[in-house]
Amino acid sequence: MWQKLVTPLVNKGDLTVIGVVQEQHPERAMLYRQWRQLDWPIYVDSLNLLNVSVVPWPTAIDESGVVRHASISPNNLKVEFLNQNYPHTIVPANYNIADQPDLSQLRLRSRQQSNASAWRDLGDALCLSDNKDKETQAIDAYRRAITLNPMDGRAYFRTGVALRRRFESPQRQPGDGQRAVLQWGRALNVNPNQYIWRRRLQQYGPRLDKPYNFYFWIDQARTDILNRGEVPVQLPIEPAGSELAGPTGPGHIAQQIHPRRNVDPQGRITRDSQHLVDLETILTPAQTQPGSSVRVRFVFRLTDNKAVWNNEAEDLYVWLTLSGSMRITEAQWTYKNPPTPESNERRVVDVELALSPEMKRATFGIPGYALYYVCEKTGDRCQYLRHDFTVQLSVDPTAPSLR
Amino acid sequence: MHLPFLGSIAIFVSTFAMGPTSVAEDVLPTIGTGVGDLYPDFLLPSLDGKMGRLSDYRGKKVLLINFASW
Repeated sequence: MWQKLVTPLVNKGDLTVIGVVQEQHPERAMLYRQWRQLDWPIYVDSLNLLNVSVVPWPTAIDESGVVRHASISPNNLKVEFLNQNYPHTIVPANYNIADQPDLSQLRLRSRQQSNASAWRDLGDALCLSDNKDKETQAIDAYRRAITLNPMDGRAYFRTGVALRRRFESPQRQPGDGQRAVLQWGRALNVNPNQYIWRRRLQQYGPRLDKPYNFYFWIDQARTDILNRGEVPVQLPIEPAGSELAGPTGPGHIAQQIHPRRNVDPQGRITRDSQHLVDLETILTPAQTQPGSSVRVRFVFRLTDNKAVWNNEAEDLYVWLTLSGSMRITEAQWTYKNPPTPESNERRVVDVELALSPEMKRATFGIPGYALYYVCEKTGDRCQYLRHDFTVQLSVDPTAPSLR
Repeated sequence: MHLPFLGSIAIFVSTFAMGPTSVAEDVLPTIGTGVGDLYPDFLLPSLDGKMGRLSDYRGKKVLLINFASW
């Protein structure tokens, strides 16, 4: 609706539209822009530096930079904003001008002032910098901010953003994905009314807590773009599992739970002792209330390109040994092999568990294993391997609710 | 006053209300997101990879839309 109403005003030169998108993955916003054919400048605020707590949020700003409508309907733009004459507000030329951050000055200020906001500012600047290990440095700066102010919700949220970015980069460190979820949960604990923070957790969380399928539009977008004869923007990180899952209500049991059986109950399949495949499990939320659901994401990556997936065999398979206090409400259990004989992609399998309301505060492990076919690059040896793991589940009646 | 790269609303709460057409340096308008405030300038990367400021658009009537692609 916005686009239809503002485009004629933009084309006439009466109005300038600027978008600021709240998105962890800018490429997804690029695909959205291409699909919707938005030709306005769009800026990316993954860290929520603008402290936006609700979207969409249209603000009308006059020629001097003064807010004239904090939230305006597109239908009223012409009469209530464009047809109005506003007095020119004169301020010094250097007032309210955002500077390119000077990292060395920000570092010095952080050490000298030793307050949370100085360290958080440094973390923000690092995240936006070109430094090779910017996420690692930013995470450290945010950690110092949190040490000085354990109620700094913005520092928690931005730590989560930086951790998630590092998790999806070659610089990833073990546990980054789970730590991101943990930090977002802490941010929400500080301010449960911050909608953007809540959405970031819900993006990866269980369907029970989902308002809608977050990326339902992507398939349609690609189809429409291809039909226009264009090439859709490539997504380096495809939405998967919970990001594409639709919502459900309490008591719902998904119809698409794949039949499963414990194919290796005696553990006879050879273990992946060479660590050809790396596995990271991410639980969202990091702490789960009794009676709630938790999304478990298994992310499989080929370690250091030592091997490739062998797709001329069975699909990757996951098994979990559950106690009676949990039930599966959705599961993929397998990752379907792509049609090529070999591949090297990241493989994601999602499982959703509902916890009994009777469960007490506890941390316990859920044992499981994965089976996969890989071929080593050196020597071309192909193997069928088993990877044992334990999912660490934390049950906490005081955990923040995602709903 | 220059800001590191983002107008910090919390820092720049002024005792001044709103409405002047011209102000002295010691009585500057509030930086904030309420009606009558100067919207905090920001420096953010665009989808095309270039850094841009809100203040680049001074002199124009701007509709700033904060939105999400999810």
